[in-house]
Amino acid sequence: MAVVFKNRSLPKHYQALGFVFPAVLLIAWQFFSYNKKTLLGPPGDSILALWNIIRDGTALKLLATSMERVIKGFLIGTAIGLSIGVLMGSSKTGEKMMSASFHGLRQVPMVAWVPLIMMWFGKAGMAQVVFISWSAFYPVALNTYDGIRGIPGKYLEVGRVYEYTRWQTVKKIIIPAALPSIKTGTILSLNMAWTLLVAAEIMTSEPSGGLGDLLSEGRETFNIPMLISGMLIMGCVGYMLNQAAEAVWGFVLKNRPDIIKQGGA
Amino acid sequence: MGIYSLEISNLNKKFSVGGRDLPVLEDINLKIQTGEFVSIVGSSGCGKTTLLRIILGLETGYEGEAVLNGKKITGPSAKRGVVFQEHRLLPWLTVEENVAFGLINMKNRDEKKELTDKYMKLVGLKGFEKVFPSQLSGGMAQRAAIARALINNPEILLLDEPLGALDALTRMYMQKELEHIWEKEKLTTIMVTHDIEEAVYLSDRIILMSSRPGKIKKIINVPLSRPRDRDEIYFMRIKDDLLSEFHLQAEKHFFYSI
Repeated sequence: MAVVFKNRSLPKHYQALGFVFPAVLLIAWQFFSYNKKTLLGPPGDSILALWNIIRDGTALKLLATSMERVIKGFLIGTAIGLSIGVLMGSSKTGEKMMSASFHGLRQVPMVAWVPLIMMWFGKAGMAQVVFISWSAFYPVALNTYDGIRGIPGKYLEVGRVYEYTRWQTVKKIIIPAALPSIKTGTILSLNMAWTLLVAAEIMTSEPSGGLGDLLSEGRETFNIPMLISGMLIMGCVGYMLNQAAEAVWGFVLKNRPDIIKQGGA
Repeated sequence: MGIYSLEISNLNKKFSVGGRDLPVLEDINLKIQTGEFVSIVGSSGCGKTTLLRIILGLETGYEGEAVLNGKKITGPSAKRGVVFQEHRLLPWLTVEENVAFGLINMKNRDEKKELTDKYMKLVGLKGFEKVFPSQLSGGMAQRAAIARALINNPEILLLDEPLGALDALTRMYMQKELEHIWEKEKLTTIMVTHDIEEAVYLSDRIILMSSRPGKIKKIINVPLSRPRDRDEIYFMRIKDDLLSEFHLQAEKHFFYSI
């Protein structure tokens, strides 16, 4: 049934349905926090706190710092992930060489890397970028690798018949065929980068200068509205990042009816 | 070189299955003249596709040799055009880009465009340049695949059940088209098929293969003038002869008693 509805455009006012659940949540929050101010505080307090840090520019400054780290880390991690993924997927030697270490290291939880990275790369700034690169690396590498391994042999044979060089095959067959998987990988990576940024920022003992400070400072000073305003910013910005990534991919794939047909993630 | 375009001599091919050698092709000797249309017919599993893949250069590791225009075949070559059973057009390229797929090393854009247009026209796909394969019918996709195979001006055209996936009406129409293209391009052509009528309709010679291991059982000449009439007595007789080789003797026609 969902498929049937998808093809029909819904009336405009249906768009408003998306606001129903948050509104219910907000009302519930207000209701339950009425008598227990110390535990959560009414939503008004948090929204006011959010408004205050937006107005005085703190929010933007923190966001800019965090965003820079996420974007840097994401780009570095994705670039390396893509290269390793292509290498492992398209070369038997590459696969043999990398596979064991790749899958072995993957089993170490991401957060377990934090202390080591903190020790190596200092406490604020560089360490977060390295950590985010590392966490963005795996989804892209893994999905690229899987995507390439899943390319039907019949397409690769066409390349062989026309005497494509290895590089031509990668450029004209392997990458285009793996693009849907690469898309999935980058979107997961971005998600991962944004999510783990906070982990990286609250683990430093001194203020990191990013959004994570709202959380660590909020916790230390029992300033719950500050803590929650930080969470609200993270949620909203994360959502927008995801939408932006989808939009970029939509643009990149505008000439790929074969992918659009499968439906986006 | 002589008049033979392709010469296959003493060819033996084994596949290794679970550590045991399974003979696929045994003692294949074959000479194909320049410009000839030859079909390879046999029941499934007789190694006919393997033989075609050997000529294509995709299959290696065999005894004996296959020589095309004086050169031993050791690997794939853009000078050997192929149409597979599935069209194998790349879904992310337009029809035009797919047809030009083999021209990757051609730097001159105008020349490339001109050649692409020429072959798009030859297969009757003019006007479908910017369309994607998913938007084509099966017959049209196969035409695009034929154009892609022809664009490099190949020395030989290899067809692996090219019309096998099409419906009966489209198939008959495409057989006509294929004959037309073959006559125009004067191409040495080898077609693998299991459709006996198709083989009789298109071929100068038909190579009948037996199964396990694949051997050449019989070579049949089809000395009928073109275009051929499927209802004509000699056409039907050749077809019947072939069918009887498969122990699938069709209903006997009245002319047997003449």
